[in-house]
Amino acid sequence: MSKQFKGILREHEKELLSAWFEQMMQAYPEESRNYFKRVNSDFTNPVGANLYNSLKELLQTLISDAPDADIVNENVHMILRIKAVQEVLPSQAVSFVLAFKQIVEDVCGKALESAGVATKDWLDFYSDIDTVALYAFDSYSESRELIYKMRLDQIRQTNDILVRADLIDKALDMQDFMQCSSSLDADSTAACPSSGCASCASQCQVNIEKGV
Amino acid sequence: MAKLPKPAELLDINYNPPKTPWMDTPAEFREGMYCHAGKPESAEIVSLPNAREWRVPDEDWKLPDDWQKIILQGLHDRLHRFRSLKIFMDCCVRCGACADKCHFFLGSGDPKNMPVLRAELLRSVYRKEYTLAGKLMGKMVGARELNEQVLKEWFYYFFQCSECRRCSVFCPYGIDTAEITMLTRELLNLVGLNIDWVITPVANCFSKGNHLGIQPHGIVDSYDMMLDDVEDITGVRLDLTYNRKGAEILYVPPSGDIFATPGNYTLMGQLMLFHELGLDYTVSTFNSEGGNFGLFTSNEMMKRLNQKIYAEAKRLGVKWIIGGECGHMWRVIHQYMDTMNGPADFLEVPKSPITGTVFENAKTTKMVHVTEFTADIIRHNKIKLDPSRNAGIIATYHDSCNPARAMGLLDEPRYILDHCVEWYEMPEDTIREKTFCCGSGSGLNAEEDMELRMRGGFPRANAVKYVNQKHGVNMLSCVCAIDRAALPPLMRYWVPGVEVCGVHELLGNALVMKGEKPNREENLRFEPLQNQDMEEA
Repeated sequence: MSKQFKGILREHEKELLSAWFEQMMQAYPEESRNYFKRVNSDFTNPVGANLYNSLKELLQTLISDAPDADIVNENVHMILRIKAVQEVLPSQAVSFVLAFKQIVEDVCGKALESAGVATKDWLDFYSDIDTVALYAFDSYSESRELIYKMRLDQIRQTNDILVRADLIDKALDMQDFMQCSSSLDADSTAACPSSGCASCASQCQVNIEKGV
Repeated sequence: MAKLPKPAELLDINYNPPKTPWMDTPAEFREGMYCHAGKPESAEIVSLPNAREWRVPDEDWKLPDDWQKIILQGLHDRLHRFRSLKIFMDCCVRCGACADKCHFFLGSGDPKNMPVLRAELLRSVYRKEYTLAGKLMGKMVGARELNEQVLKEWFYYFFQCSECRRCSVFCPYGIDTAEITMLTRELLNLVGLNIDWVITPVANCFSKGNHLGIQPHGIVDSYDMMLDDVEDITGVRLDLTYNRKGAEILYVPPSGDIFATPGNYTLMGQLMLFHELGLDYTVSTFNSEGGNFGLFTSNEMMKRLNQKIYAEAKRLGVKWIIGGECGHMWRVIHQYMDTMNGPADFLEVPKSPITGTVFENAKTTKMVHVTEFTADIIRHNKIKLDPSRNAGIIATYHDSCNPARAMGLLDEPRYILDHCVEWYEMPEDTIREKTFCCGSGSGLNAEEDMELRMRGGFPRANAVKYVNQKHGVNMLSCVCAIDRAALPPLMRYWVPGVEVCGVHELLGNALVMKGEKPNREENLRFEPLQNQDMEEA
């Protein structure tokens, strides 16, 4: 990628960051945006400040001559950790990365065109963005998996205490649990094990009575 | 044929929240944001109304036919009983000082998590029923009818408040939004709307003395395991008596510290301290819980569960009570106990038998927080501490909401840490009376609402991350059993590498005991002491 291409992006760093952050803020209700935009309050506005600072570092490395994968990963991870617990679809959580292509075109498309940058430079840069999107997908998946692991760990821990205290008579059967868990979803047609299980015996009973 | 959207359009189309006014935007129940419904068998144990099987995602919540009448009558009764509620309903000027103080709002951006708007969910119905303007002008003046949509919204959002009271610190009128949540949950309970993570612990606590329903022999087993562990680590077999009549002090821990890690390590530290001091104390296997989930149910339930502590103190004939590192138990003791079950005149004003200090602050409740007791012991130089045994641990301190804001317990835990471990404060806006909640208080510490907990706990975790990066902090200490259960997953998600402990775990590590092994090799977690590595080096 030519230094000229990145140089033009660096000249527009402030506008790029501002537009990118503004677009990210559109995700939140109007009443909340003003609070989240107070990005200097690191500790009293953790979502706004972390999103802003992570975007800023991400942008800085992307428009440098040699983007650093560690910096990309670290900052994408922070953003996706937040998004993964904020009620959004996976595609919506990672879309901010790919949406950056349009922001680049909107903010410095004319400058890039008039400088006559090569198509290859555009494609190289877009390729970097695609890589960031793939990292974002990894982080989102890892975050969601961790949430479910933590849920299972909590169930296991409680179950272990109850078994130790003789309040239930068998250790948690994870296979049973997973079946029961899916049956908790109202739309699910997955069947509960007919015997019920230690983790959600009463719920199983309800489903059995309902004939699910 | 649907047009394939561009990435930016994905952001613009679905991601944007509804633009309808808040009253016309019904709560959308999202999995991960609510807890499972309370089980009928638990509700029946404590005689709560409308006990039945129901599920939150179901359309039909199986409410009684006259549910509106029940709720409105309940509101009417409470407005007459509690002057505070009437004032809170009337005096808010919607200045917005509280709006960005709630950790759930800061983590989500959902306007209905702003304390002012959360309170408005109830206040709007109050206006419709009790103000002339509300009756005549309805929505124009922020008033609305109570209907099923409103009731569901109450359930969704009042179980997204952890009653931490951070918002109330910033309210110029002193409106206690936690009390609005408490009262609204009380109204919801009148028609059988509660969550299992609250109601089953309540039933267990009422019938068996602790949240998990562990019977007395199970309590003894758990203590025995801890005594065995302490003996393995220190070489000292601790004295511990159960239900001993005539002991001077009754010690009441939160049951989470009896059964679960890392709480049991902090309980071990307290038992070691009491042994070292030769304290004349006992524990009860019947009243084995300091926590009081009645606080999250109704005033009456809180009173019933609080009463057992004092009934047991009376039965055993103790002089006063030490309470463990618990959170909301201290809100109940310091702010409600005296007018519910107190004053406890049959007990004596707590006086430390070791230092002679009289705990004037507890002269009516007769119950002293264990960190107050321990800080006084250290102040009088009555124990030997070797902080080098905590080498390798770099701690910070999380002010647990209720001890900090409901009883002003700010300096005693810090004083103990000063003498036990290297530790650093988190940033000013996140500690002491402005502390951020763990995100899981008031019965929200279930597994099914993990997303809610992670985003609600983010402001706290963010401050921990700062001291982790700046000072290498690897241990988050606290004085609340719910914190010790809630913070480990929070750290795992946001700040991996930071563990969680109680303050007395660090004290137990540092405590030099009479008759202990010549060279203690392990801390209370059976991990090698790093001070020996340093000496060898």
